[in-house]
Amino acid sequence: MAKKTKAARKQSAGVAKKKAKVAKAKSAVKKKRAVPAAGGSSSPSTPGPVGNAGSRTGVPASAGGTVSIRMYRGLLGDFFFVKHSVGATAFKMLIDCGVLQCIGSKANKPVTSLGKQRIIAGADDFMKACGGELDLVVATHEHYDHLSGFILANDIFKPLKIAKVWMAWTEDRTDKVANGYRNKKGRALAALSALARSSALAADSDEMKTVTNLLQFYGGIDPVGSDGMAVARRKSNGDLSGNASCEAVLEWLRTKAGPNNVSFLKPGEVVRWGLRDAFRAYVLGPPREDAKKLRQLDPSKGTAREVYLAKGEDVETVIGLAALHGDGAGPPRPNDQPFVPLHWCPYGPNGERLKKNGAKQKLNAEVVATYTKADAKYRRIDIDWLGSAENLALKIDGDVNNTSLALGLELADRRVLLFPGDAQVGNWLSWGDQTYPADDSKDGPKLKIDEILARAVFYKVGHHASHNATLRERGLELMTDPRLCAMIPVVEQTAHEQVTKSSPNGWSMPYGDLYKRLNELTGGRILRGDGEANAEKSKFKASIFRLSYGADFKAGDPLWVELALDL
Amino acid sequence: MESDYPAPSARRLRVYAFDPQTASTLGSIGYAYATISLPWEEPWEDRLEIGPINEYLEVIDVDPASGQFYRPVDLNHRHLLAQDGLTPSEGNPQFHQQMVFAVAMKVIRLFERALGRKVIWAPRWNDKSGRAGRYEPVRKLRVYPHALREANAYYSREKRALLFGYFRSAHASAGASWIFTALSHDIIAHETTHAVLDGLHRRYAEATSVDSLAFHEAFADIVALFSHFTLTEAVFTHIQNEGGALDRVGLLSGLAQQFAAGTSGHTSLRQYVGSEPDPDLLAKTTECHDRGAILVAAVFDAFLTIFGKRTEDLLRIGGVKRGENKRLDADLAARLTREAAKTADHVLRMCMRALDYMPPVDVRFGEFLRGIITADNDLVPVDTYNYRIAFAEAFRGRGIMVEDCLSMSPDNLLWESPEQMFGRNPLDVADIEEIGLDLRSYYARDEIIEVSEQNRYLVWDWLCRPHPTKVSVDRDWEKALGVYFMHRQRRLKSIDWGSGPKVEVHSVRATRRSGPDGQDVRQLVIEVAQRRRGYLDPEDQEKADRGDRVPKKPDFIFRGGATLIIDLRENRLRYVMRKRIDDEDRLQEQRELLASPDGFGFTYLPDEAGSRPREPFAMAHRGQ
Repeated sequence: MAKKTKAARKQSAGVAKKKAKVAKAKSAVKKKRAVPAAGGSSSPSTPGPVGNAGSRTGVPASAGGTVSIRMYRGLLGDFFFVKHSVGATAFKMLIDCGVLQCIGSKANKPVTSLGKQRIIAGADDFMKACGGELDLVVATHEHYDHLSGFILANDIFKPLKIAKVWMAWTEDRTDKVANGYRNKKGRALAALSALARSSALAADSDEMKTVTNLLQFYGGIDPVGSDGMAVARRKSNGDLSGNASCEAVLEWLRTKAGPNNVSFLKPGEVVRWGLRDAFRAYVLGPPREDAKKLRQLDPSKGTAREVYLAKGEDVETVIGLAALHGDGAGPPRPNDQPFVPLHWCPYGPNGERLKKNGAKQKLNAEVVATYTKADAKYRRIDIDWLGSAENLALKIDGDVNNTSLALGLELADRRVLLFPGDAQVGNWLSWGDQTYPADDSKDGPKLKIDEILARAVFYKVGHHASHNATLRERGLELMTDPRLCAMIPVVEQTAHEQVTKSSPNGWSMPYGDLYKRLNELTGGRILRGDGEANAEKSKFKASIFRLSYGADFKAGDPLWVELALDL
Repeated sequence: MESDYPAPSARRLRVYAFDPQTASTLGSIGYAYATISLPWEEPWEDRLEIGPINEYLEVIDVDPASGQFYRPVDLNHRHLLAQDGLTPSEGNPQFHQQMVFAVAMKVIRLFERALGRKVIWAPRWNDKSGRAGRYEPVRKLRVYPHALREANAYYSREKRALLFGYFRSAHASAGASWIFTALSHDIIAHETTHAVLDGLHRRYAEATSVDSLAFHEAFADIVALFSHFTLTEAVFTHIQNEGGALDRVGLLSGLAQQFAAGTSGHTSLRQYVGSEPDPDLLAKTTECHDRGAILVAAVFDAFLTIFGKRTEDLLRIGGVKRGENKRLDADLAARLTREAAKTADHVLRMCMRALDYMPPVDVRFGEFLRGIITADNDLVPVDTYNYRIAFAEAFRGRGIMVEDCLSMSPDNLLWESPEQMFGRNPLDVADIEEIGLDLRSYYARDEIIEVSEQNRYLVWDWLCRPHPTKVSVDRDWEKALGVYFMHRQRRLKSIDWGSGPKVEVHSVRATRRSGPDGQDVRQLVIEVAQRRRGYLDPEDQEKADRGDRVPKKPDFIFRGGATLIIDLRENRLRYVMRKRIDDEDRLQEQRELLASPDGFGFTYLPDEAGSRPREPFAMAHRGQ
């Protein structure tokens, strides 16, 4: 803990130094430049920030002006445009841009299938609003519903200029811990994707459906080809293809901003944003875990809290299974089989003997008959092993959500706008593992997470208000400011369309109990991606924020909703 | 193979005493293997076939993850008969079949001996059978030694099968690259116990309170743990090295060492000594394995106390202080080992017998304690070694309290008699005769299942049919059972299903047990249960209770019911262990549990209702 605080201190010192540099650079260079946010320390070679938006002259040093948060509506996905403007100048920041992928037919998912159209319209509007130039893009985590806008509206975003990018430390290619984690995730996705493409396996089994449903979060899964299913790279010219993976999107963003303008943020750091770096932002997560320390924990002394659950051997196992069951799998490789070839005895779907694949033994007819008996079908275990793939997919999904860059954007008067990405329990719980410098002075006072959350006046509800991405006691209940407002990037109908055999009602987003509590805490001041504008307007009459809507996408369904706060 | 020679008394099969890890360590090689001796098949039982498949189990070694259907072992082959089965080996799937079979059978026999009757598997609900579906008996439990490729194993209620997984080890300390849960004595015993327990109390698998699933886990661990003490060589070595003390961390008191080493790198999955009793811990623990561990620790504490008492004199004679770092004399160690084995056996039997003395639904730890004390009291009236006090004290030390009990003394912990509860005994001797139950002894399991089905129907019919003359008789029974079965004006309408309230008679079984001094106890155990529509919203609940229409399907099923123990020697109702269907406090507890699943309360809720049943008895729960 002490170590971390020190790192954070170093951090803020670095920020101060950089600011001095900025001033110098500005006086030297007469070009119109915005001052983008100073980054973290992870790229120490970062030169004085350079941007190319808006005029900087005449901006008062005090942080006045207006801060606005715009949410693009009609998306089960995050697409937020945050702006700090003083007069004609503005600091423009994009936090995520994505929508849930529509797998399956339009007929089965009428609302989900509208997502693509919506985000293209949104992107178009957004490019006009920001003038094609951004001071900062925050990519919270590698999930399709947070990044796919760059794929689906690739043509529109092509001319976009990005001055700075913030990502979580887990995306840092120079960080050993991050690389180990990402490497594991990449191998897992490749193996899961190979299993999901296998023609020999029933794609409609519940286990397999879970796997495919989770894979859609990592990239386009259509068409189902060797380069699809969540693992497609960028095209040779650097563009994003229709089935590009989210990893490719992150790479595209990094390339756009240029290598020196990407910051990988670690928890406990304080970074700057807004016009003239007017504001501070607290980096709350994702937690950084020392794998070694975790292993040393004495199991008898309480259970260790693990944030990243997918383990190396889980991944190895699924890789082995993919080698056995994926398409084009050859004869079994000895390493993927638990027993030596002497004991091999391959069988077909009806219990028939398979002669190929190096069978050494004959099947025993009676035992096979017992297994395949018609009236004991319910006892067969043909696909139960897929549980391990399902399990891994679930863990990876949770892990990636937990790599969400969780930010507390602070305003000059100390109020906080909370953007937790899709952080799940482990990420939320870790926010209290460190303290946060209360000011820029070295050895200055420190803030606890409770104090930061108590100042939140805005909460971007995590994971579309699902049941497991808003912590109760150590989270929402700490947001005690009576002025609290919330935005939920959700379309309930879309969530309900994600039907599987096991959950016939689809996903429950927003989750009832959480929604109820949010309603109580905000006094009904909740804006939803599928909210009814008039009802929302009446609730926001007494809010500190000014509420406005964009032009209608369809009659009575505006393209975006915006909250503005005068400072 | 019919012959004139008499059948042998036992079939001996070699297994790993703990797991292959113990067999690869020099320090433990002396007791790494064991031979399990199973009674030879009786003439009325199915013969042991290739598989192995017998009266109770069918081992089917299909490995779909690997695309293999391994050859089944033929334990009747003369080469195997002559050498106690195959030699333990990780590399031979046929040995894996032999080991799961042997250990599972050992556990089954332990239960049969303690309960005084045959083990029957939980029947399966077949909704395609008959008009409305019905329960069908499951004759043999399926066992799949290589069902999964993951660090997991479970008893699947859906399939009435034990599924064992295998996986690649993550840690070198496991001493193998592949780890098979089917080679872990503890895991096999644990999962088999889940299956046996489910056959005895099929409603215990429902999450009705923080205790209910935890009880299943705890009981499975108790059986695995105490069967360690039948391994005389291992116990001997431990006792000799530790100066007669059993409260030292080691192989005996830990579970599934190799599994733990291969997954997390820990020395055992759960360790039952070395944690000081903390009476406050229970209230803070909600995860089912963790909570179960507290119950197991309490039983283990009781075991240590009893073992201590039984061996004080021996240590004094030997002039040894317990736990001194002095290697014990071999004779003394051998005597202590015998005492340890005997004590463990007694403790395990006490726990198993308690299973008949518990309510049919929503079990709590405190009720388990009352069951232990009462069952033991019935069979062994004079408690020479103060076993019952040891239990009561150990449970209290771990914070397991009994509700509505005057004190934690064994006398007060006995279940009340009907006279104490209602002032009079509702059962007439004539009643039992009137029902015409078939209470003869049967040996073949098929017959037992059939007769038990008949008896079940008879009792159900008798309960549901109104008394011809006196309403008060029916009313007394309703009161005694804590459920409603008469079609008259009732306050509670949420128990109506179709035409009226439904009761379910789970089981009617006769048991015969003998105590240490030749006591012969013959009892009839009857379990009756009832279900009620439960709603998370108290307003909906009120509507449903009143009989008003509630627009949505019930959120959960709330159950009540009672276990009756009837002494067959004098046809007298001895005990009623009941859970009233109209117990609003209990309903509220269950509601709260469902609202904060896994007892977490971290986030805003659990899996959506109606989601695919996750396997509740998994060693490791998926996706967590």
